Formats: sequence, structure tokens, C-alpha cells
Amino acid sequence: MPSTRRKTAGDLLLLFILLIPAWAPLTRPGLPRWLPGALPVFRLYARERGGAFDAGWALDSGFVYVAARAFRFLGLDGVTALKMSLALGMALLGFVVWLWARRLWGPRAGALAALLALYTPIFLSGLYILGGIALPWFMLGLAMVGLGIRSRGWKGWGVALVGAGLAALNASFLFKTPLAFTRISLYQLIEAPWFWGTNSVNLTTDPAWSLGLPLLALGMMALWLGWQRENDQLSVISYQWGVGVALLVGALVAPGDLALALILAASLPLAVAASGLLTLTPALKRPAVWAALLILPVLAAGPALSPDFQAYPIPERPAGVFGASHILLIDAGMAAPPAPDRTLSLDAVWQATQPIDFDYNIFIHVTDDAGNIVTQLDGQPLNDHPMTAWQTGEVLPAHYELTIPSDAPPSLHVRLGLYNWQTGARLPLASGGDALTIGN
Amino acid sequence: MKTLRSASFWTALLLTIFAIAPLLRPGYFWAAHDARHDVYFILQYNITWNEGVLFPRWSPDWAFGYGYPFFNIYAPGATFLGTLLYRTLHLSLENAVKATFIVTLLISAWGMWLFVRDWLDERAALVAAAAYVYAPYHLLDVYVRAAMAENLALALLPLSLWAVRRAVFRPGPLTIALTALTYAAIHLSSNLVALLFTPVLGLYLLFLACRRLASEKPPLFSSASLRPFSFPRGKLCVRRLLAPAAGLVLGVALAAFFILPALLESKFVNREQWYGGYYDFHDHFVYFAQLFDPRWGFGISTPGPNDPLSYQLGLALVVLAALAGWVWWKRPGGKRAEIGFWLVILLGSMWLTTGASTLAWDHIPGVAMAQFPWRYLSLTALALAILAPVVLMSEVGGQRSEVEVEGDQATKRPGDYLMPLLLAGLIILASSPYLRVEITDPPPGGATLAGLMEFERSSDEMTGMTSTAQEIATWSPLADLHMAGIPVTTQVDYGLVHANPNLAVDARSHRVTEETVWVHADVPGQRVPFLRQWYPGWTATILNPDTGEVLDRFPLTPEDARPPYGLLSVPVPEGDFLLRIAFEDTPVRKAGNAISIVALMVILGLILGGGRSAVRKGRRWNLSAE
Repeated sequence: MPSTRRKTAGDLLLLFILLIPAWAPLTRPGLPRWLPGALPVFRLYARERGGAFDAGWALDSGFVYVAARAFRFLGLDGVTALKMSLALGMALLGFVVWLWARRLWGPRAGALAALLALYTPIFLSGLYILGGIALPWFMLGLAMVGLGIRSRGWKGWGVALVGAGLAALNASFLFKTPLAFTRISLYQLIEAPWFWGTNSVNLTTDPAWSLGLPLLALGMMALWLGWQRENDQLSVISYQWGVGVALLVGALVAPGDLALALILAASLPLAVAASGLLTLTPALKRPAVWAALLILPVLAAGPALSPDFQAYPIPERPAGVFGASHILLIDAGMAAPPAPDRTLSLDAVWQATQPIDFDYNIFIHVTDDAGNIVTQLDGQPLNDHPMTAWQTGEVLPAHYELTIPSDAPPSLHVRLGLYNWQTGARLPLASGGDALTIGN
Repeated sequence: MKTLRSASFWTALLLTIFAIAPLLRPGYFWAAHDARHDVYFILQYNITWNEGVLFPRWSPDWAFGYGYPFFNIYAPGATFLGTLLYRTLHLSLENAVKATFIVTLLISAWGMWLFVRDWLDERAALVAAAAYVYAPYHLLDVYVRAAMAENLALALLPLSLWAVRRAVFRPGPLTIALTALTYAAIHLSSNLVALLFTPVLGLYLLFLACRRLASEKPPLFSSASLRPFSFPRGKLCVRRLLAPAAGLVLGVALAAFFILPALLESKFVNREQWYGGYYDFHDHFVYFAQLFDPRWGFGISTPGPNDPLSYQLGLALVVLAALAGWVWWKRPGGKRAEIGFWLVILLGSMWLTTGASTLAWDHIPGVAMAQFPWRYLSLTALALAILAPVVLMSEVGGQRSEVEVEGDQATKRPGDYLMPLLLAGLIILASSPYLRVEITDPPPGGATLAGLMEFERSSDEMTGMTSTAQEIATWSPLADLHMAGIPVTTQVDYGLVHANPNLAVDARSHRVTEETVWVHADVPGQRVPFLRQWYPGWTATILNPDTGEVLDRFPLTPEDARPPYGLLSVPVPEGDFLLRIAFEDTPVRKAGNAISIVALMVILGLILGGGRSAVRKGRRWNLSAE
């Protein structure tokens, strides 16, 4: 292998390994305990069937499912395919940021920029808590725009154009999530908390929105050093900073999901600007110092690299979706069909995809052919865990038992639903009606 | 000595202070996995030491007082060290355990420093020492698992590598002796770690010998070397391997007093307890994500990906290992091959921890002896630490640490230590959230025999039984005595004796491994029951009660064990006499002892001979490699 190619291959191999901790959580069984729960998987399956699964919200886009479906052709199940598409998006994002900074300041700066961009708390939080499956691809598009602009020439513009298209394709999540009605504050860009609880209505208080201290600190140092030394790179760094800061200012006045997009967009030029530190101070290119700089963003991202995962079987479509898609009944089934003088045993798996503001009751009716109730169960879906305490994205298995009287007719039907125990009003189902028929 | 004059060495030792500090907290980490075991190991060892037995193959109070041949099959090194500290420093049992961990941490830093100093230089040695001490798995072993034996063995691994490296590059009596001593020490510290480490050490030895050959004339790729098995090359190869291989063989011989019985007599204990049920390795593979997950915890290994303890490699160490791979890829140089070797060990050991290696665990003999797949993280931590400073070696253009420069010969400048200190500091910072122990109140009984009884009662599946036991004991009359604080003066089962009208027994003397009783048997075919588990080595002697003359002497066999716990039931003849039972050395143990004594004499000879030879040549114990 020619020396230059060999070196480039080595740089890329290094980049790939350095990004492993960011995507390694995706190799865990199941899905992260993210806000949209199993919705993205249901959407993927729905698209395969040629339909749509419009219930609920998710930080997703049509393009994500196209990528995931490519993995489905390899025989992977929906969950794995979705995670593979995310990992691919992250790897490509790292690669393009690396290319962008490398073009400006060399391969070592490229690796640093890629790490600063991918290990920002807001990106990891957006992915693993908010379930922003479109975010890697959205950022990839933006990074391609940045790379294209720096590259200039028709090729550069081509890359920028494709990137803009990709970003636009993946920006369809904007203005249609609960985040759209919230605002973020300046301190949230800087402080680095990390919470997994997402059951408060104001979601912005929970996930980390910070850009990460290494990115901000190294970025400021780059700007300061450039200023001090009147280096000819100052203009480039200032330009990246200017773009980044403008986007951040926009984020402070924009609604929540646009703010999320703007902060993520700002993280890219800021990461590239921060990596310019290496060119301003050649001593920082010394492998040992460079190693220390590479360690910083990975270490700082520490808490974000331990997302909770839940492994549970996800059918191709949920048993039911209640309310405005707040409550998913992922699966429900009986051990045996209902029969007289027998105990009906029913298992259900619940999931909230948004904070629930009322403790709804569940009803299970066993009826005869005429619709007369033979026996019934009413109460909280989970005895010791009211709905308002359900964590968004949390998987909640439940078990119900009803005794069917011995004088019941042989033909029975089981229906399940949720209702407001104060008014008696039932929660409508997304598919229409207000009760699910679980079995006959 | 040169090492003691090195600021880098003392800095490496000083940097262990952050790992040692949590152990200096008042109290004891009773809830750590093996913390209670450790205390009772020392308690038992000390009881036998009090009776003049320095290597107690038989521990008298395990299995609720029925006894168990614990140190006949479990490496005694760490407990010996703990007991030594307990006795010489007059510590409490708990503090003796903590002191043992402190010593192992210091040895870890010292050993890794020596090894990497020889391979790279003192700057790199500083980083590697910090990386080894602060590798998350190493910290897990100390604070979470409290695995005293494994920890001592981990501390000795780099020393063994150091000795082998020296034996290859500077073969001589001293390096052979060093190799033997360090390798024997690993065997005497932890059977499991010795088992995991030996293939790595063997491969490393072969690798070094090949490298040594390659660097000698004729060059490896000359026409002569194209005939690798030609006589001159073959002879050279054997010569290069001779010294370290002799050292390793001597090491095994030195530890033969333990290794032989452990190998040949472990079948006489119930081993199913170690591998069945919870210990099925299929349930304990590490998930890939767990290797990079910085979460920490104090729980125990559980099936699935959500273990409440950490199997991470350490984020800082991962970055440094990746950079070592980058150096290996990009920069040709004298160290490239060895970097490659350790990268292979790193990847191989990581692989063995994950489910991807199930086939190897199921079919390759020896792999499953590790019991838990995550135990291979000890090798991963070793490789990560060795690779951590490699990035320092890639510096060119004005830096003194060019790859080809040998550490010992290079001149040092104060500024050279800035980078190693920076990296060592980051490594410590990365592990700082894990530098904590969970101090808890003592369990019932604490560090006493009563505590040991309570401990065994609360973890009955762990109660060690011998192969003749049909059931695992859950309590015993001896345990009642220990709970009441009454010293045990006899282990004759008087409950059974009193029920037998044809037998009368009177205890005369009692020691942990010996007991003499007066016996009167009305009729032939009587048996004297004891509350001691059968195991090879128990021997009965019939003595004339008046003269002390030996009338008969015979080893007790499995036929002399009574159900359900396999306790001794010694056949006696009709009449009055003294019966003495004693736990003695079997032929296997005697052979092991003899081999060890011969090996020890050879090693002493090598040290004395090597020392004189060095003095004659005008270099004081100069062991410098390459």
C-alpha cells in the first residue's frame, strides 16, 4: 500500500476505534429507554407493509427508515436494523467531520473534531434519551454542507448540495414534537447534567442540552490563541465560531425542537474550530498531547455513554394505541381462551411515549355474544404504579386475572380499554373505537 | 540500584496513593464479594500457623468445623502474605486484608514499571504503571470483588514478563532464577490467573526468542535464514529459548509442592459446586457494550447485559490503546512487532470475555477453567497498560524517545516527564469515580470463628465439601461450640460413641491436624467417629496405651468416610489402645515437596553463582536487558 494511503487508512482505523464507545451502547439487546419507546420500530414495520404508523411522535424522518430497511434486506429484525442504521449514521458523521477538519488542519485535527462533535452531551442525549433517530443523518447532512463549502469547486458544491438535501430530508421532525412548545436557556448550553427521568411535562429540563465542556473550552482556546498570534488561521476559526455562535443564538430564541437542531448544527463548526487548536500550537500535535486531547471529550461524555436499554419483544404492530398516542399497549395476550369456571389470565405490556397527566383506569370486560358483561376488572393498569408516574419510554409488563363464573355461556369475548375514573369517559384508540378485543 | 535512584520509579509508586487511599478509610468493605472470605482465609491460616504449620494444607474450621483441604487446592500466596502482615504488623484481620491489597497495588506499579522500563523507557514505564494500577478491572478486583489471590497474581504478571524478557535478552543464572521465582509466585498466588497467563507468557517467550533471532546475524531474511530449521539456526533458537524456558520449568518445580497436589488431589473435593448452576459460564459472558460502558457498581455478575458491576476497559485506556494501534500501523520501528503482539493479546482476551467466543469456551480445553469469561479481563488490563504509553514512543523530531532508542541508555531531561505525567494524570482522572469502597457494618460474628460459621450458613452452596460427602453440610455440633465461644478440644463424635455400647472413647490431645484418643472396643469391627471430613492424607495410628509403641498404622480411605457428610469413621481393633489420627503428606505431596526443595536449592545456587559471576565481571547485579 502506498505510504500516503497507508497513513490515511491508519487514521481512519483510529477514528473508527475512537468512535466505538459512542455507538457501542447500540449493541446492547433491545432499545434504549428513549422517549418514543417502540414507536420507531412500529413505523419501520408499517412502512414495510406499505402503510404508515402516524400515531405518536418521534425525532425521526422518512430517510432513517429507508436506511433501516436496507439492513432489513440482510435479514435483520426491525430493532437491529434500526440500530444498525443509527450506528452507520454516526460512523459516517464522524468520517465527514474528520474530512472537514482534516482538509483545514490535518488528520490529527480531524480526529479531534470528530470526537468533539460526536461526544457532545446534546447529541448523545438527543439520540439515547430523546430517541432522535434522525439526528445522526441530519447532522451528517449538515457536516457535508460544511465540508462542501470548505472544499469549494464544483465537487465541493455538489457535496454541499447533497448534504443540504440530506439534512432537509432528515429535518422533518421539526415542529411536530412536544419539544416544539418549549424554550431552552443559556445555562443549559453549558451545564452538563445528565438525567434519565423524563416524566415531567417540561421535557427540556431533563435531557442534557450541553455542548460539552471540552468542545467549548478547546474552542475558546483556539479563538484566543488565534487572536493572540494573529495567525492566518484566525479567519477560518473565527468564521467557524461565528457560524456556531449565530446558530446558538438562534437556538435560544427558537422553539424546542428547532433549538435542538440549531444546537446540534452549531456543534459541528464549533468542533471544527476547536480542532484548529492543533494548527495554532504545533506542540499540541505531539502524539502524547494529542492523545490527551482525544481522551478529554470521550471522558467528558462518560455519563452519556451508559444509556439504559430494555430488551422486550416488539411485534410488527402494537396491540393498541390509546389517547393521542401517549399510551402504547405493545402487546397483550391470554394464556388460554376464556371459558366458564376458569381463571382468565391476561398479560399486557404498556409503554408511555409522553408524560401522562392523569391516572387512567383500565377495564377488562368479559362479555357474551350479546355484549352483556359476564365478569369484569377495573383498576389501575399497574397496581402500585399510577400512570402519572410512568417514565416515558419505560416498558411496563402487567398481569391480570379474572375468574369467569361457572354459569357463563361458552362463547365469550374479552375487551380492554382505558377510561377516566372521574368522568367515566373512555380514552379513544388511534385505530378508532374505545376498546380493544383481546380474544374470544 | 538504578531503579531506586529513578525519580520515575518513585513517582510511579507515589501515584498509587489515590488507589490506596480508599483502603485507608476506617472500617471494612464487608459487602465486597470475597471480603469475608479473605478475612476467614487469614483467620484459618493463622490458626494453623500458631501450631507451627507454615503451609497448612488442611484448614480446620471450614465446613462448619469439619475442615476442608483449602490450601491444598487453592493457591496460598495471598493469604500467606496477609497472615504475615497480620502477625508482623499486629493488625486486625480486616486491616491485614486491606494491607495485602495495598501491597499488591504497590507491586503492580513496581512490576509494570520494571517491565515497561526495559521494553521502552522510564517515561513510558511511569504511564504504564499508572495505567495498570488504575485499570478499571484492577480496581474492580480490589474494591468490588476484593479478590485477594487474583490481585496478588495480577501484581506479579508484569514482573514475570520482565524476568522472561531479561532471560531472553541477557540469559544468565540470575535471570533464570528471576524467571523461576516470579513464575512460581504467580502459581502460588492464583491457580486461575496462572492458567490464563501461562499461554500468554509462552507466546511472549516464543515471540521474544524469534525477535532476538531476527536481530542476530545472519539476518532473518538472509539466504541462511530461509532455512529456519537448519542446524545453526535451530541451535541458536534453542539457545535463546533455553534460559527462559529453564526458568519457567524451575518455577513450576519450585511451586510443585502446591501444583502437584492441586492437580492430582482436587478430584477428592466436590468440584461440581464450582461450575454448575450460577457458575455456568454461558450466563456470564460480557456484552460488547459493557466493555465501553463507564457505569460502576458493587453487585455480582448476573446473566444478561445489566450486571450491577462494571466490565469496562476504561475510556482513557481505550483511547490510548487505539493510539497504540495507530502507532503500530503507521510507524515502522524496532518496537512495532512487540506492539503488535500486545494488540493481539488485547483483542484476543477481549474476545474471550464475550459471547462471540462461546465455541472456544465449549470446545478448547482449559479455556473454561477460568470459570467466568470476564476473568480474561485480567489479561486485557495487562495488555491495555502495556500499550498505554506506546503513543509516547511515536514522537519524532527533537524528542528523545524515538522508537529505536533504548530507555536505559537515553539521557533524561526534566521536561521529558511532562507528557508522561499528563497521560498518567488523565488515566487517574478517568478512574477517579471508581476509587471508592463500600464500608459496611460487620456481619454477625465479624472476624471470628462464630462469624465464619454464620458466613457459611448464609452461603451454603459455597461450603466446601470433599468428594465423599453426599450432602452439603448446613450446620454442625462444632459450629454450636464456635457460636458459643467454647474452644474445640476434641472432634470425636460423642453423639455416636455414646449410642454404641461396645465402644468407649476418651479424648487425650487435640490439634488442628491431629487428634489422639484412648479407645476401648468390646468387639471387633468397631469404628471411632470423628467430626472431620475425609480427604487423602488422613492417617490412623494404633498405639500401645502404656508404651506408646505403634501397633498399626494405615491411611484412611473413602471407605472410612460415613454419610452424609463424608466424615471420618476410623476402624479399630478389639481391646484398649490409643488411636491417633493425623493429616499427613500423601506420596503426591511428598513428591511435590521434594521437587520444590531441589528447585529451591538450584535457584539459590543460580543466585549465588550469578552474583559472584557478576561481581567478577565488575557489574553489580547488572541485569539490564538488551
